[in-house]
Amino acid sequence: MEDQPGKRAAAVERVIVERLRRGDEAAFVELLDRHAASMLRLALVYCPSRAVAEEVVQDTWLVVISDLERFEGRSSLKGWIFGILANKARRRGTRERRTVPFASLAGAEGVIGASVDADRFLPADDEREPRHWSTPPRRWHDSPESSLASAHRTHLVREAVDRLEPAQRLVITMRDLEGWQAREVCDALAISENHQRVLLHRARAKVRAVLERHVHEDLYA
Amino acid sequence: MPEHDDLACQDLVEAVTCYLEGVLPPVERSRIEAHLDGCPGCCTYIEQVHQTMQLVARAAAMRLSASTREELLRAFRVSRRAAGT
Repeated sequence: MEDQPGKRAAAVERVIVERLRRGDEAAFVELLDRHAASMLRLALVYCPSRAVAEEVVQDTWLVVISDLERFEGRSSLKGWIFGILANKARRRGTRERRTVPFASLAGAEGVIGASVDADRFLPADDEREPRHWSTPPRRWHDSPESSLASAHRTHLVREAVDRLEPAQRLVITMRDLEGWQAREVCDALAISENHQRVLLHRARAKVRAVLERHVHEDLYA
Repeated sequence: MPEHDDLACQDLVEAVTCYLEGVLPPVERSRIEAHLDGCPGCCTYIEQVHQTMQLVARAAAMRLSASTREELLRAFRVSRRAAGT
């Protein structure tokens, strides 16, 4: 597979690093804002609270700032930053361990299943079309009057994402909100491609299901 | 009546992410596409997965607090001054 996106990303990163070394504050703020959401969500997988997660993210950036001269570009800038973050988040999370163990990325491997309730499909012993839709999904109409992108739907989606378990929330955010490549997510989180895909699959299925439950008559084509 | 191959809708729903990620072997990919040709329900399902992805992309991201951002910007300035830039 051609690595054009990878080559482009590497070139963009080199420019950013140069700008940072020259003291370009706009570049720093841009980088900060670009990664804030994913960094917070990664920290939240390991840390017990938003406040602690934000401290971990801040500490990470302080290391990035002080070690900027030493960054050689052998890994990607993003990979380097998230590597530092992951270590700090795990260590801090261990130190602040609650009596109830918080979510970890482990344990979500395994079989993909039940994205849609089984009762939406015909039974396996159906004569004509076993395990085909009995109640197929109805198309969501996207028009200015009943826009899928309305504030209400956005709020719905945001809530649905926030209610996902941390690992699923993190992966769907990195992939679908922030546009990370699959490989980058796997490297940053030190998980296999299959594991990443399972998390993404479950996250998207859950959010779609929430939308389907709440997208009512006004939205059906 | 449209012909379905032997792929069940319930299986396609679980294969959708692998399909969209492009990691299915060509044979599996063809089976899915053949199924989609004759199954409006599954076409709609995949369309909804796409719509979900787009809506997630639009949902507001978490931000660092203003004070944290300011502190980090200050630290950045100080370190660049120290580095002589």
